Amino acid sequence: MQTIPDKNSPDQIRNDALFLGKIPSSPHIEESISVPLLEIRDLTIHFIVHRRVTGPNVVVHAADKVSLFVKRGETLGLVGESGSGKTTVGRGALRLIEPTSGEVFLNGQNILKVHTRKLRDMRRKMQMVFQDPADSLNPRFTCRQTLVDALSHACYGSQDILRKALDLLESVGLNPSDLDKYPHQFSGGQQQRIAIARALAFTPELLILDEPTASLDVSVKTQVTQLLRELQKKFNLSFILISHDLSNVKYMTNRVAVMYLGQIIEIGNTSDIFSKPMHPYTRVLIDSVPVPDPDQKRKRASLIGEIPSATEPPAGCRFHTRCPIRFEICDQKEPHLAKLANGHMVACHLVNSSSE
Amino acid sequence: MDQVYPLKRPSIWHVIKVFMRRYDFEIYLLRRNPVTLLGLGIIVLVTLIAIFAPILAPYDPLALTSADRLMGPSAVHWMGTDDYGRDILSRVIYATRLDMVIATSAVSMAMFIGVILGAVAGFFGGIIGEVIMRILDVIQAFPAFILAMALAVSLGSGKMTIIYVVAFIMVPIFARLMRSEILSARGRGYIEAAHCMGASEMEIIFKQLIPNCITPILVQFALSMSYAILDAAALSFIGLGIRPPEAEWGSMVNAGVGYITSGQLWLSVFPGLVMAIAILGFNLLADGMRDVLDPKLRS
Repeated sequence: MQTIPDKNSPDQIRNDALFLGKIPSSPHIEESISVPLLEIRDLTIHFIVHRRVTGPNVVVHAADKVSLFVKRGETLGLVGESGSGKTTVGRGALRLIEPTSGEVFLNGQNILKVHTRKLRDMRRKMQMVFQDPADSLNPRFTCRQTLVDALSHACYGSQDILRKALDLLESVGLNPSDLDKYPHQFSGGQQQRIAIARALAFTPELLILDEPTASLDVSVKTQVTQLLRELQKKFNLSFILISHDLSNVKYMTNRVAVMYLGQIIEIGNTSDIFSKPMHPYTRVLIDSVPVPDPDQKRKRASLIGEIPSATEPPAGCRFHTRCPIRFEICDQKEPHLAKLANGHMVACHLVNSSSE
Repeated sequence: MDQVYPLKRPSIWHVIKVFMRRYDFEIYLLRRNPVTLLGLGIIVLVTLIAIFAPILAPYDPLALTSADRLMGPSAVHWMGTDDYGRDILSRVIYATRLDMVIATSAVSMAMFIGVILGAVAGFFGGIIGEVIMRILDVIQAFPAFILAMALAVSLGSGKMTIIYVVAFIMVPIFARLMRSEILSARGRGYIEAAHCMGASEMEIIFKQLIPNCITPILVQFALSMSYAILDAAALSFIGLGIRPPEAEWGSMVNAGVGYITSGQLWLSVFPGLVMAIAILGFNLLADGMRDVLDPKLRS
């Protein structure tokens, strides 16, 4: 029995659009629909820390109803302090962590609905570059083995593999003589280059960069950042850059999403976010970026206290416990993301009330 | 150094040379660590004795010569003779062969099963992991040797019985070790990267996890060898393992026990001594193996 797909279901409309979009003679349609490369809708990831027989389980709200999208060739920054769920969202998008609920569409296909084999195929289109390069390379594999392993998963024939491995090495700026070294024989920057080369073996469309420069020296940091930008242009890659290095984010990204306690509280174009941040938390974050000018007076708007526990997020607006400008409604009603101009969205009662 | 090898089968020396070059760092480490080298030397010696037992043994280990009963160590019988006039040196040499076969087979079997069980339990966790670990808990809840005795009694005596019994009581050790190693390696970045590459779970376990977790397992292998020798000897000593005419360290010690008080020490002392040396060799090797096998020490 073949099930007839519902003509009006979102999946179907999306698939039709994709199909139409592939017809080269109708650029008009392609332009009008422009399906994002990756779209995350209401992604919720809860970790059960402690199961209780009576009463509700103790749950960490690592990500709550996160929605975002990434267009082809653009870079989306995901910022927030430690424990805000940035990495969880990145991993959830790849389904490295099984999300509690929500939808993740890659090229219009829901990655959370597909079965193992298809999932493996889809994952290859999105690769991840991890924070600690030493940890992300198998210590028992030489550089050659790492790349060959990746390339064989990318379905290259055995005669092409070595040539392709050398191509990859060259594109990340390493020498062919490095092929037979073990990871610990490389510097951190070189290790990260190998990790990037491994990710590129799949000719991915999206790279999820999980703080790719956080564990590197300052001098190497710039090199790796530069390399990533070059590769983005060369292969038309999309990036999700997970980072708390705001100056780097400002430099690298087209759009930024700010996360706090598992929720996106502000999202918009990088220029908008950095020039006119609307959410009080975003303001504090941006004010905390060091400015290389000793004469400039700094507005010292640092936050009081720690980020609250994600097992029991505060009621109402999650930021209200530390917000410098909170008022009555903040601890009662949860603000929703309100749209401003240019796709700028903010979840704050202050902004919502003034815009209404 | 540049040498052109003609297209024929490489000579044994060439193979050794290539092997030495491939493992020159391990060899260097061993040379810097004389105690480990001593352990390795003992084991190599014991293994060679085991392999070449028929050539090395001066007499038939089972030949009864009633005229030569209970002769002390001499130029003719280096370790003397036992109460049936059998040459003890020959019997010790054959016992080495038997005990090494038993210990190697038992520990290999335990390692093979334990590693797979532990890897599955560690990687998948959940109900599968719980079931595997609880079954192993049950095995470990019994005192190992008592369990071995009970099993040996129910399975009947013989070489295969000892191998199965010793392997059985050692599986939990390997499985636990493997599980804990896998648990700590499972969250490493390269495993997540392998998931991103679309590798299957079996591929991740066998290609990425097990090779990275195998070092402590190999160390445990060497340690377990000494326990296996002890267990096999102990089972034979109490009469549950190898049947009397066949030479085995434990049963030889047992055969000589009655003569210790009357001063004919050599019956028990020599097999006991050889066994102790073999065990010492495995323990020394186990100590030094970790250094040699750690890839981080290579440069």
